[in-house]
Amino acid sequence: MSASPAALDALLQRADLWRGGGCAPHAEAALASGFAALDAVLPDGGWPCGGLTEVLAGGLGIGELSLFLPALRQLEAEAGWIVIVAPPAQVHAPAWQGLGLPLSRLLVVEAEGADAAWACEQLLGSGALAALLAWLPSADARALRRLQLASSSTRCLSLVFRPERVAPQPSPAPLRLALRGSDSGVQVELLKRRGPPLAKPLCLAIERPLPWSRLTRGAPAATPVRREPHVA
Amino acid sequence: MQWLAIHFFRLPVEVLALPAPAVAIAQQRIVAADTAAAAAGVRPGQRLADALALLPGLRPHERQRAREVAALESLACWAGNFTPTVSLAPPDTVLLEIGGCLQLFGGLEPLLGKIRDGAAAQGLSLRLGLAATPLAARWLTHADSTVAHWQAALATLPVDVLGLSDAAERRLHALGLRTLAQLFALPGATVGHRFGQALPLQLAQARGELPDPQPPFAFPERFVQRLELPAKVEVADHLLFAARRLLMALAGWLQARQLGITTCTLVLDHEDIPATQLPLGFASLTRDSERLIRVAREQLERHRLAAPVTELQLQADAPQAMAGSSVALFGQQDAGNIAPVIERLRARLGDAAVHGLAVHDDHRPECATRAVPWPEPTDAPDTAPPPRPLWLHAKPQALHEVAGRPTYAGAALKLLTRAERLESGWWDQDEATGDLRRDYFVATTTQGAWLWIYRDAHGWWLHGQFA
Repeated sequence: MSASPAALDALLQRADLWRGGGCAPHAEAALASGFAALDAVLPDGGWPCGGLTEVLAGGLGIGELSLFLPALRQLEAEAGWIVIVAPPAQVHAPAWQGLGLPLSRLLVVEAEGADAAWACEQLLGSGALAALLAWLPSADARALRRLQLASSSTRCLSLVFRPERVAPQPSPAPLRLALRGSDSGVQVELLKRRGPPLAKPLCLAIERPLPWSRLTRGAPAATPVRREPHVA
Repeated sequence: MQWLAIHFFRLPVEVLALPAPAVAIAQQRIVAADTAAAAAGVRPGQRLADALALLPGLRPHERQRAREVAALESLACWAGNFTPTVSLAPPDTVLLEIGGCLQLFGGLEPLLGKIRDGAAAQGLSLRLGLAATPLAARWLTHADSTVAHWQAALATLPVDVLGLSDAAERRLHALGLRTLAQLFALPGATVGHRFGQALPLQLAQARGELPDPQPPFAFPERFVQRLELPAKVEVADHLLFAARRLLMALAGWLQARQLGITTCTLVLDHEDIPATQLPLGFASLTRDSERLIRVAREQLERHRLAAPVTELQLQADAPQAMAGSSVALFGQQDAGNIAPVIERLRARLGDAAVHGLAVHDDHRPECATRAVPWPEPTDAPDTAPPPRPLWLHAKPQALHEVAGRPTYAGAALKLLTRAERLESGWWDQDEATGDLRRDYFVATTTQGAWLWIYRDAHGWWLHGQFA
């Protein structure tokens, strides 16, 4: 006895049916990442709005923010505020403005440790955020779970940046990325997604202050610092 | 016209805010008993000795009329939350004309729910009366009646509600007149002849046959209210309950006067030392009682009292006109509701911890960013700026120079650009960043991190990261 193909199709359309090969279809809104190769492997077809995205970066300056620039630029003024919580260094306003991020909708919250996680939760709870960028290196699983809960009821792009060394720790975030720098772009590895693991990392040529080709070309030689003779 | 009378029937005792069970007394007789005492059978009019026999743990306190008067005015301010037409009916009743504001609150039941919740939050017991005339509404508070058929409810009330002299009441009973219905059935002239001309007048006013104008409560020009505490309070946390009464009155006063505040001051009076000023700050103009209370709670939780507090005072600093807000149409999203969260964050983390950013026109990178309390609309820059890092280190990190090249974490850096010279700044030589002379480069590490480094007379420095 065999089921009719129509019945099988109907079954496959169900949201709660998860097939081993594909990604779980997800009803949440997504924000196009600006990279077709990345959108193709993200379960929602873009960065999830609602739900935590954990970004494990192997150091400052490898492009951990530039990766999200195309998405952040798309956010409309009505969508709400962009809030930076516990930034790892001073936010250099001219650079943010120069890259097309609106300073008029940007807020910075300086906090440490548990206060930073608390602030994130409060901010997510307000429903007035379009994007949350938070640096929570020491947040534990409990704090992250609370954030995931708070975030899942919003339509906010919630990014939590954490160091690479926490990769083996379990995390409640439905999407986890590990980023590594390279000569031709940033290497994005999907550590966790609603779907099967990705075979190999993606290499994305994100926006940088100079073209990527400059990396492989000969560089201007550095002139050593001329020590000024000490005048007695 | 629809009048709602709110009768705070335990005001004499509840204004004292004593721990239960408590009673307010005058000339050794009970004036009012709180909920716990009333449950044990203590009734107004009883002798104190009888009440103490019923409930040995009872706390009696002499009635304080001045505080009742102040409390009633404060409650009238609070009533401003619901309607601008408020009248006082001393000693313990407030009259609200609610016919015009039912629509705003979505009907009678939600409005009454709000009033009951507000009174409960202030620790006050109330009875309500609803009628088309103010006098009938006051009488109906005896039955706590808010039914739509107020005439029928009024007719069933006992004659005791009239508040006649004992002798007159005895005569009414002797005539077999127990309810207002029986009194209404009699001709007015006869009633006036036997019980005084005031009674038929009152009956006519209650039924709406004669006008009964109410003097409106004048909301004070400035809001300064005091609240004496029943006992010295030594923990700041415990002040919140008392502060809540003042804050709710403030919210009502602001609502009635169409004002908003960004700061108000809670003054804590001590016995021996000068009073403590506790400023409460808000991110935007507000008159929302929940926001006021939330910020007060955060402040009081963090505050350490210098000495026990005997009295609280709340004053509104510089109220400004604040128009009402429109209700969202067709599901418009309001992105403005971040302000309450910002207040909460500032109350806990400090005012400087939450800020917006503005670009300051200065070529020195350290001086190009300015923190502002609230972001302002900015224009996008016209010209493409030179490469600048998203992260800038407040203190540049020294880099080692090995064989004439800068290194980072032990590995040589690769420079990608030619030097960009940034110099000068002699004008704030002594007080700020001052004069500088630097050559900036974009460099990459072997791990693929993009750095912004510079070289000056002292060596190589890491100043930022292109995140």
